[in-house]
Amino acid sequence: MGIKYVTGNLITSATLDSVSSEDASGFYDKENLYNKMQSLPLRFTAKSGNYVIIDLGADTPVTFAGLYNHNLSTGATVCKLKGYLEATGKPADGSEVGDYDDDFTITAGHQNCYLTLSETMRYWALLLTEAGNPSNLEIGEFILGTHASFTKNFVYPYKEVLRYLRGETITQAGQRWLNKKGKFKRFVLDFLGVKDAHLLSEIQAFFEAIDGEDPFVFVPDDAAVYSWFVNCLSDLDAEREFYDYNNVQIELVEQGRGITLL
Amino acid sequence: MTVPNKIYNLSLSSSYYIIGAQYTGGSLIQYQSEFSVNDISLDSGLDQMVRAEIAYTASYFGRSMVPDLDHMHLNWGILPDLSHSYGLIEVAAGASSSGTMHLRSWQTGVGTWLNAKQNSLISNGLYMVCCNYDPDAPDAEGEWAYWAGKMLSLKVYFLNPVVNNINRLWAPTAGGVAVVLTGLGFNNTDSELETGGPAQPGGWNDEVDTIEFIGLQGQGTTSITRGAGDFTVDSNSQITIPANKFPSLSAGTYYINLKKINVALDDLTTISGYAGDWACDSDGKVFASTRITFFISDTHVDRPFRTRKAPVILSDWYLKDRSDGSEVMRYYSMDTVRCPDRVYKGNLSTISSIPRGFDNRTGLFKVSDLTLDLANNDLEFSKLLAGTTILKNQLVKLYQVYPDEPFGWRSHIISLIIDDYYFEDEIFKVKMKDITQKYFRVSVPREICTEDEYPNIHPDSIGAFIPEVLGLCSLTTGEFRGQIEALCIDTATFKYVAANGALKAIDQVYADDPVAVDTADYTVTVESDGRTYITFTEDQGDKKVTYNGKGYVYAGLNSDNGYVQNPAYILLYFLLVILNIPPTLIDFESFVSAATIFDNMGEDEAGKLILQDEQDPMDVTQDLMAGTKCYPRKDGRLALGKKDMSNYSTNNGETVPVIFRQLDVVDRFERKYNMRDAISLINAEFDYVPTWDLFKSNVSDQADVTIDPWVFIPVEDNLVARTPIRRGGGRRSTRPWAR
Repeated sequence: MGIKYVTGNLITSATLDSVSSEDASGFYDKENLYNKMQSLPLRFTAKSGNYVIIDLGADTPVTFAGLYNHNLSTGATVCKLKGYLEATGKPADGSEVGDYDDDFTITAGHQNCYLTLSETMRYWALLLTEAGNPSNLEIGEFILGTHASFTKNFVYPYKEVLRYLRGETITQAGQRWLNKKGKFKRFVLDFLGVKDAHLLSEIQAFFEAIDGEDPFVFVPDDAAVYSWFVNCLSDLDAEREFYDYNNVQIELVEQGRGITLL
Repeated sequence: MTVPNKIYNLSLSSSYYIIGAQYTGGSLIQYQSEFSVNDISLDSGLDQMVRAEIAYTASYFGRSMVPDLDHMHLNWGILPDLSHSYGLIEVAAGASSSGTMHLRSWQTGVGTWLNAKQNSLISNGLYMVCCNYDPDAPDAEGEWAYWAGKMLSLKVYFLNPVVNNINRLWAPTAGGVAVVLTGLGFNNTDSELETGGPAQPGGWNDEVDTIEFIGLQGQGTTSITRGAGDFTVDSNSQITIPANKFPSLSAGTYYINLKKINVALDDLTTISGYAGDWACDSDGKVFASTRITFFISDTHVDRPFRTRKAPVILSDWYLKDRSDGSEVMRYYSMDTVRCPDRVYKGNLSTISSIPRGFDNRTGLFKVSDLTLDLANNDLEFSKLLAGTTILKNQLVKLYQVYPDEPFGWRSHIISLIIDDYYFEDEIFKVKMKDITQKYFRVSVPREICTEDEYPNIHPDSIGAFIPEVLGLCSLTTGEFRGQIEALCIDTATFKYVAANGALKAIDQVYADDPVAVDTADYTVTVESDGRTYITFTEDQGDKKVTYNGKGYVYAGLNSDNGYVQNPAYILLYFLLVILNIPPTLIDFESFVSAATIFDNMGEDEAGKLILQDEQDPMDVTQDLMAGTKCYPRKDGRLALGKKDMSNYSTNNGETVPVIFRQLDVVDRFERKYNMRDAISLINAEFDYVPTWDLFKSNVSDQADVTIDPWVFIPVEDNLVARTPIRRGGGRRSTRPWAR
C-alpha cells in the first residue's frame, strides 16, 4: 500500500469550457471549481441535468479525477465522468456517448469522491443529477490531473485523526461548557530510517510538490475509497530532518469545509 | 386605515419659482416652475404608484394690470405632458395659500393616471403653472402678473402590499400551522386610492390573490391562492392562512411573495411585494426593512439557547469605490459561510470584546474601540487597498447567527465605522469606532462666508458662520432685538445672508435700532443655493443687522404652521441635515413617536435652534434632547426615546403624575421588592427625632445600578425603610409609623 497525491489541476480558466448553470448571486461561480478552496463551491441552479465540460486543448493524459466538498448523497442518480478523444469532438452537454465513461461512487456521510483512470483525451464531461437533494447541487473543487504515488510505504499504520476545534469555558467551580467550532481530518505520516534511494527521490519529489501554500489531493491508502483535499503543515525543517536522520514526520490537515446557512 | 406611502422632497429644477404670464409680442407667454423629485426610485416591492399628494405654498401676487386681474389659479402636472394637469387652487391678489394638491389615480376618459405616468414623474418631475385668469388674462402688450408658488413635497401612495410581521417564522414540512401576516395594502379601500379624483368604475381589484413560497435551495415555488380558499384577506392589514391550508413544503428556507392579480391598471395587472422588504408605520409611511426568511424544518423547534450550536460571527463591510463613489460590499467571517445570496470569506481571525459606555453629557452610547484581526495570507486586503476602495470611515455591521438556523435569522450585534487599519505580518488589523463618532467629530455650523463665494463681502463677515435657524425665533424687546444676525455678503447690492436654508418667513429686521426696518426697505429671497437672503434698498454700512423669523421648512417634519417646530423634529433635522448623518443611520420611527408625545403634551411648537457661533455637536444635541434620550440602536441607527407622561401613574390621590417627591424617612431606605420601576437617585431626610419636622440628616441616596438610569420615578410602594417612613411636605401624620 502507498499514498497517492495530486498537485495542481488541469482545470483552469483556460480549460473550463462550460457549465450547465451557475448561481446568479455572483458568489457561486464556475471558477470556484478550481479556486483551491473547497469551502467555496460552484452552485448549480438545478438538481438534475447538471454538467461541466472541460477542453484540455489536446489529448492529455489524465489519471485522477476527484470531487471535493460536494453536497451529493447516495441518492444521486448520476455522478459520472466522461472522456472524449480530440477526434471524437467536444460534447455539447455530456449526453453524447463518450470514449471513456465511469461513475463516481458516493459514500454516505463522506463529501469527497474520486476515480483513478488512465486515459489520454482532450474533452471531459462531469454529469450530475440528484433530484431528491434538498438543495441545488454544489461542487467545492473539481480536480482533474495525474497522480503521483510512493512505490514503498511510510510507517504503517499512519495516524488518522479527527481534529475538533471547540470553545471551552470552565467555571471556578469546575463546570465545563463546550461548543463545537469545527471538525477536520488530520493525518500524520511517519517515515523512519529511510535508506532506499528510490524512496528518497520519491519523498523529495513529494516535498517539492507540496512545499508551498497550495492545497493538494491526498489519498492515504490506495485501497481506500477516501481522498482528501489537504494542506501540509510541515515545513522545510522536516525536510532537513529527513536528510539528516532519515526520519521525517509529515502532518496534513484537511482544508476547511465551511458552513452552510440556509 | 391608509395606503402604503412615502414622502419625497421636491427641489426646483430652475433657479426661480415664479409662475405667471406676460403678454408679449402679441401673445400670452406663460411661465411655469419645474420641480424635480429627489431620491425617488422604483424599488422591488415598491414600484407601483397609485396616487400622490403635493404640499404647496403660493404666497405672493404681483400684477401690472390693476384692476383687470385679481385672481389666478394654480395648476400642476407631470412633465413633459402638459395636457394632463388637474385641480385648481385659487389665490387672490395679495393673499397666500398653502395646502395639498392631488395627482389623481384615475381620470375619466383617460384611465389610470399617476400609475401610467410614474416613469415620467421620476425622470422629469412636476410643473406648476397659472391659468384661469379672473376676470381677464394679461391681454395688452407688456401686461404681466405673477405669483411665487412652490411645491414642497410629494407624498406618493403605492399599490404594493407591505408585510411588517409574520406570527411565526418556521413550520414543519407537513404544514398544518396557522400563519398570520400583518402589514398594509392587502386590500386597499377604493375611496382611499381615489382621493382627490373621480372613482374608477368597477373598482381597483387590488386584493392579494396569491402567496408564493419561493425556495432558496432549489425547492421551487409553491403558491396558495385566495380563490381556492387557501387564505383569507381579513382586512387591509391582515392575512390569515388557516392551519389546514398551510401547504406541505420541502425542507429549506423560503421567501414569501404576495401577488395581486388582475389589478385594474392600464398596462400592468400583477403587482407583488416580498414580505419584509418594506415595512410601514401606523400612518402607512414605508421604510426599507429586511426580507423575511421562512424556515421549513422537521428538526427545528423553538429551542432554548443552551441547545443551539456555537454561534458564528458575520461581518458586512460597506466600503466605497473612490473612482465613482459606488458601494463595494465585502463579507468576512471566521469560516467560509455559504448563504443563499452571498458568501462570507473566512478571513476573520479575532474580534476584541465590545464594551459599551455612556457619554456623560448626552447619554449617547459610546462604544469602545473594537479591533478586528483578519488573515491577509491571500492578499485580500492588500489588493483591496491597492485598488480604489476606501476603507476609512466606512461602515461595518456585525451579526451573529446559529449554524443550524437560516441566514435570514441572523441578529445584528453592532454597527461601527473603520477608524484605522494597519498590517502586522500577515494579519490585517482594523480599528473600529462607534458610528456616531464619524458624524459628531465636527463643529457646527458647517458653512462659513468666504470671499471666494461672495466677492463683495463685508470684511466683518469673512469667515463668519452662516446661521442655521429652526423653530420660531423672536426677540422683540430690550435694546438689542432680533435673535439672529444676518451677515453682509454684498456691500454693493446691500445683501445679507440670513440663513443657510430656506426660512419659512422673516418677521422683523433690525439694523442697530430697536425699531424694526420698514418691510418696504428690504426684500427676502430664497435663492438657488438654498439660502435665505435679505436685500436692503439702501446701504446699511457697518450696522449690525439682526432679524426674527420662522425657521426652516422640511417636508414631513413641519408643524401645522408649515415649518419645523417640534423639538423631536428639530433634533432630527439637526442630525439629518446639519450633521449630514445618512438616513439609513437614523431610526425615523422613534423620532416620530417622540414627536407625537411632544404633540400630545402641547409642546409641538416649542422647539427652536439657532446655530451662529461654533459649537460642539454633542453640546447642541444635549441642548436639543429636552427630556428625551438619544441613543444608537444596536443596528447603528440613532433613535430618540421619550417617556410619555400620560403613562405615569398617579399615586395617593394626586391629580398630576409624580415625577419627584421628597421622602422623609427615619433611616436610609432599601428596596426589597416590587422592582416595577427603577430608582437611581432619591433625596431623603431621615432620622427624624425628636419632632416630626426636625431631621438629623438630609442626603441624596444613589443606587449603583439601575435598570434604566434615565428614568427617575420614585414610587413609594417600592421603598421599605429600615425603620418607619412617612410622607413629608410639612404635614403632621397621625400615624407616622404606618408602614
